[in-house]
Amino acid sequence: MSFLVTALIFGEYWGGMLTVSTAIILTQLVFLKLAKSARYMLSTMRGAIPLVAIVFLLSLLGVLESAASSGELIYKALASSIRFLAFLTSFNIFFLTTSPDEFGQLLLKLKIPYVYSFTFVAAVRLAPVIADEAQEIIDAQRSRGVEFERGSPFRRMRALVGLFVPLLINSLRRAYEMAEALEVKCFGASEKRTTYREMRATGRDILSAVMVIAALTLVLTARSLRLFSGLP
Amino acid sequence: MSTAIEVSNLSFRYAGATQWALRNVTLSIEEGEFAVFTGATGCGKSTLFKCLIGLIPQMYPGEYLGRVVVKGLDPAQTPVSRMAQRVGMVFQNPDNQLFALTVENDVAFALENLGLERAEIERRITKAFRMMGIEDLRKRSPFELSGGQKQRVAIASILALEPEILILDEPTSSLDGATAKKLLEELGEISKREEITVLLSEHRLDLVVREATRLIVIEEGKILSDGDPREVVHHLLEDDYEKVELPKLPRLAWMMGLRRADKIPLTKEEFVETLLEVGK
Repeated sequence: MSFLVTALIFGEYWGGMLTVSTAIILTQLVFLKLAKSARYMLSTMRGAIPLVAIVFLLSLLGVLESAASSGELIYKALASSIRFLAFLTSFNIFFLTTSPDEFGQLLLKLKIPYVYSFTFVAAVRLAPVIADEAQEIIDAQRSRGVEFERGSPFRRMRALVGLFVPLLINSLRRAYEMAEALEVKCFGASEKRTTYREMRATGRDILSAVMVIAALTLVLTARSLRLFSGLP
Repeated sequence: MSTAIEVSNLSFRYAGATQWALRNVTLSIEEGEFAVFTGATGCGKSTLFKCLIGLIPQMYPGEYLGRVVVKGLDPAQTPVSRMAQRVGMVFQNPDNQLFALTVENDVAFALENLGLERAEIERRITKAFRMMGIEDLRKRSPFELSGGQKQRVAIASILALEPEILILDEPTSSLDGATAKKLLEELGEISKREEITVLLSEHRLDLVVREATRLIVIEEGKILSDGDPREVVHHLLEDDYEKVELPKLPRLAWMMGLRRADKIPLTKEEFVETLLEVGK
């Protein structure tokens, strides 16, 4: 989480963005190395290269006017790409280590209404079901001669309509069926909903929370003292 | 025996539809029955079931005539969550009924919604797992289960509510014959042992005709035939009814000319017995 927050803080701030983002990624790698799964993250990063390239190009265009020199231009584009990568890896670690059920419970503990945390968990629950359904529609369309991977970009876009329309209609029907199932499972029947498996904060959780807050304070202090301004 | 469900002159038409989904349905189901509803797809079975728990007319607008009383409650007026504590309903597609990311949390879901104490939840879900024979799936994720297992989890999550009436809308439609037969047999046992009234819809009559204490045939929103399965099958054979796939053994017996009203054989044993009798 700390990585995420740190990356977010640098939204409007160029000074030191490159250094900090790189530092975030490296720290993550060190932690993962300790957990013996650095390779997994590296493979994710490799998969993200096209996306990062797009971000690089887009930011190149975005800062075209505001940048004074070509050096600054390249620097800014590079910094935002690396920051994007830092985002990506942070989210990646977050979702790999936290099950949506746990996250839902956390939201509950934070006194966020159950409807919201339920929506989140149900969305995660449904993702693979909808993916299966999309695959089924793709197969059905292919067997009717629709080609999703050939032709001009325009033709491909048109082929996708044949995927999204049935998928949307199915999803609407599914929404109805789920609403029925929720009704018969007494959703929202009691003001005070109980939880069967409750999470309790252990020593380790508190320790990591302290570390997150410490890291955050450190970064904020450094930023207000303008310690980053000299860095690339 | 007292009456569990009393339906009188029920008609329903979905908002925007020209056809009536149910026409003048009158039906009474006693406690402890295992009633099987059958009929072509779209004949109104699901609509009838939804009326019994109050999803119709509370969730689906439309024209609603007649009166339904389930366990002394009027489903048209009682909140579905209150009905659901006495009448459990399992739908066709288990994927749309499982919400949590572990089987255990899913079976506990309805009980959590009711705000039950943890000890009570534990007691009820343990019982539900035992009833459906899925204790070993407790910690699994619904993603990794087979269709039959998912359907068992879906049924367990409703049984955990300890309903007096259990309604299952085509529970076996996505299961293969053998898996479906086993599940239906177990439901028959549960119904007897736990004294739960069961209503279910099924196309493959071969699978349920032994468990059923009652067979109801619906056609275009009307009750075509209703009674003891043996009599109903006999009527259908007499009328040469083709919209429902009739069980094979009675059909065979009928074709062979073994036609005595009280002796339409439903099981293998009965079939052999009838044959031997004719041999004498």
